[in-house]
Amino acid sequence: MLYFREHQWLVVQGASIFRATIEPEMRQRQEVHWSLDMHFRACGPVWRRVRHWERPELHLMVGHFKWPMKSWTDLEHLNFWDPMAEDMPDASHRSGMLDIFYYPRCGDNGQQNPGVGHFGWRVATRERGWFTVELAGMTDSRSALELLEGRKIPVLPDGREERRDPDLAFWKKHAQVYLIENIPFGQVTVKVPHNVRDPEAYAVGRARQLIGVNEPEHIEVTDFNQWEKCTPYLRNQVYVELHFNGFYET
Amino acid sequence: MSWVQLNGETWPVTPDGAQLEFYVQAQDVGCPRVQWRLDLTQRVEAAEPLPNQPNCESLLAVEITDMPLPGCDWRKLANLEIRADTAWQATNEFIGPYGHSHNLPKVDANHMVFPAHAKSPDNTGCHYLAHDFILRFGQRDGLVLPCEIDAWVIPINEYYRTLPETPAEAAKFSDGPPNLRIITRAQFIGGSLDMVRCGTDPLPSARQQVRELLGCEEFFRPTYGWWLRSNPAHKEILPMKPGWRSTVHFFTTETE
Repeated sequence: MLYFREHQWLVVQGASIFRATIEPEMRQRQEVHWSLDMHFRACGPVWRRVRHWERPELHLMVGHFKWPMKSWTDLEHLNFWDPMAEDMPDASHRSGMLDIFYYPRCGDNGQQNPGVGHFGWRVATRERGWFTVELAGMTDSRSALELLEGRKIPVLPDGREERRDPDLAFWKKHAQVYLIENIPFGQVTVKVPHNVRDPEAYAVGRARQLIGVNEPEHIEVTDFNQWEKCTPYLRNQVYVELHFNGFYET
Repeated sequence: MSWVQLNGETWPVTPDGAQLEFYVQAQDVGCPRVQWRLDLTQRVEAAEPLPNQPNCESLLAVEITDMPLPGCDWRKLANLEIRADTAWQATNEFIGPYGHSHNLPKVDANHMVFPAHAKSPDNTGCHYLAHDFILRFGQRDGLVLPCEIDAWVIPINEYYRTLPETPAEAAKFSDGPPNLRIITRAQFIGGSLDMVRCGTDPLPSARQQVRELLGCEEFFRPTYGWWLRSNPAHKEILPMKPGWRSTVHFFTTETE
């Protein structure tokens, strides 16, 4: 579920996935580009007479986060709830870059990062290929942990502190955007050298080597050499998309 | 046998019947897996057939789609009543597994009058939608369920708007008598299943899922196809090789 402004929201399946991109020069696991896309659309009975493409949408993209992973299943350990507290020189960048686009109405250009300054996110659990993602975006520069530390903590009669996870009312009050949603490990894009004889086998092998995937559920190959109209940048490029949660056509 | 009343006009009773079909999404999706669909086409024969014209004067095609199945047994539809009010709609809206469809069960009714039989060129029918409806199933008889639909339909050109309703508007169930009433018999005819990869023959797994998710032992005339994809030049759509994802279709009877 997502809390943002006054609407109720449904997560848009297919578009909301963890993605990985593997470039030809990547040799080590930590070089893989990871990103998280989440799309939401306004829902609820008040919207039933508005076509879905004319309803408000919110797109959140967390790009280029870094986490020591041996396998895609290690996404379940992601925790950037308080990136500033980690003692790494580039800790503030490891949680990735959050881009939020709010489209109040169809045809609008959208508002980028509407009122969101700092953000924290983590994965709470994993069930097979699905990860429960929690994300809070603040209106100012305070991190989620700072907010949590500012809360009053009840003390029990025996002197112990009664620490509880904050409830939804807490996040509705303090966060501009707060969500907890199940998101699948969805897609790996492998850029394949154009002289490879079997791009599919090559891509699966690379993805297996770098992020420990099993066989995908679907594969799409795009060979720009065979495209009549193609920008010079893409000429000689072969992209192989490995889909692990059905097939979402981008 | 099927009886229809639309906008106060009672149609002749016809031998038509509704069809009930199921769609089972693949195991790895993030939306409800089982949806059912009710589909009725009621045809009115022309009282005076015209040369070189279809013998059908008008028809009403009604469907209710994306309905959830209570429990794991299609037979639980027997004696079920669904009142599609705001509370029910709030719990039954979902986006399809690949983001292409945004589903809220509605009654979709398309009234068509064949031009040769139209009283005027403007009177060739109307397409309606209803979000407020009541659906009642009766006692099951084999694969057949009697059913009644009461719907408050709105012409489609008035139905859609660009601004949401107010909460007060949305909370109110339609007043007055329904302007679409149907009494018919619905036959469970079969369905389709999207299958995750499960070897080169998806039928045993599909049969098992039909049993587990629909409580249905009738699995006849099954066919399947491998999912499609573009070729690397994106100029052709071709099926994947055996062993990839597939869609299985089945019927509940051995013959048509």
